[in-house]
Amino acid sequence: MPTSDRAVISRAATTNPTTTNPAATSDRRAVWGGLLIVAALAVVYPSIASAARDPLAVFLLAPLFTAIVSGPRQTALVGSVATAVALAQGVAGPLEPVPLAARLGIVVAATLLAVVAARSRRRREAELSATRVRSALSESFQGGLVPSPRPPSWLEAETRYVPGSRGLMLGGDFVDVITLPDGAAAFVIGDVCGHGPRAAAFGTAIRAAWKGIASTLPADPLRWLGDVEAAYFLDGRFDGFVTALTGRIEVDGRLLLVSAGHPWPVLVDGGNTSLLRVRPSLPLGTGLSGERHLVPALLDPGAALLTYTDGLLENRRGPHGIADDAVLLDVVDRHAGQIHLDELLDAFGPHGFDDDVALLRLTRRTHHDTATAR
Amino acid sequence: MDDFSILASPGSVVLEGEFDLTSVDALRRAFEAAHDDEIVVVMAGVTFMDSSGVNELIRPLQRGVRIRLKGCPPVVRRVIRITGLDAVLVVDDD
Repeated sequence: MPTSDRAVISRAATTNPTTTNPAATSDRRAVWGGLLIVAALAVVYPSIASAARDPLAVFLLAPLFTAIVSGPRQTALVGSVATAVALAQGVAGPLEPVPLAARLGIVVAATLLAVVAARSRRRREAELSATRVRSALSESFQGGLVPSPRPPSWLEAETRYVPGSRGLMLGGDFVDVITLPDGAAAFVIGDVCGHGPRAAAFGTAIRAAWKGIASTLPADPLRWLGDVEAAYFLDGRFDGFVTALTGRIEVDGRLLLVSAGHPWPVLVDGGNTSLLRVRPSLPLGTGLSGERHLVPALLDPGAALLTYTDGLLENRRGPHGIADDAVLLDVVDRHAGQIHLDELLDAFGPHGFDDDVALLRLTRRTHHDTATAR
Repeated sequence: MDDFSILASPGSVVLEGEFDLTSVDALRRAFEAAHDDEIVVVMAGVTFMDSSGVNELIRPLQRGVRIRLKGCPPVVRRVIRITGLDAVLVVDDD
């Protein structure tokens, strides 16, 4: 299973380096705290040096041990018990009040330190495991939203998915490319309005439904979106909207497109970059009457269809601010249409994106390798 | 991001500032408060509206309300044209 043609990248984590690393800060604090304890001990040591004769302070080993293997509460409990037993031993000793107080003071202080240590360790562990769960969840959702494309051999498909970095990581952008039973290619790109696990789960469901309908009715792209809307929106269980662009590409390059309120794709043919103004119909889920339109186009050998979700252009932190199609055409044109998808992401979001971005580029290959097409 | 203001009265909504995902709830409440046969939406002060904002224009349409947009800036016109909404609401040429 080659996965090289799919690159789900998580840019949010790498392009937003925080100026201060919290782990480094806390490490520095720990060293200073340790040195402070050494200094304090050096000061008070002469007055408690006599304690060595009656090593009551060994009871501090119990809370230290508990702090290493368990949590703050357990450490506090063991420390209290250790202090009480040390007190009893000291009274039975018998020790004079001042040396007894000095020894007990050491046990109590050690207990308090151990509790603090156990608490900070527990918190770090919890953060780490929450992060792992979140990233595992994000990855599995992203796998459902942007799976590996499976185009026919005469078509090259590249995809990118960048989660938005405005708080919630998961969005509902989805992309898919499949080979239809009759040998043509089918693609879809879409955007579930909203964020969070619900939008991501819904995007995954829509993509899967699209794949089923396209495979069953390969000749009828109009129904690919229409049937998805009928199946998922008319019962009112999801009250949001979804924009989507879907299309069917024949082996000879004939292209049929249907848009449900989705941004227009860019057609790159040789040195010519143009906007394919697909006549729009309303987004899925509006419930308003309106017909969908089938728009024909042609993909010449070597030509590419570049589609995207609006997070690419509507990025207030990007160098272009809120850009429009003209800026996109300009950027693609400057690279003579040969722009790498990562360069395109860099051009619009060098410091990440507000919203999710999905990209899909379909390039019709020039040499048609019939041996692998079958 | 609270860089927006909304004035709603029956039949009229005046919007100013930036409208994105963070203002969706406020927009929804405003259009509910403005419920009438037709709502005139004054967009002249809108500096940004993404698809999540534009989508809130659809909900009153679903309730059978007519929507008329006045003073649409180009950034909003573009989103409305792409989403095909110009077929179901009225965009006044100012």
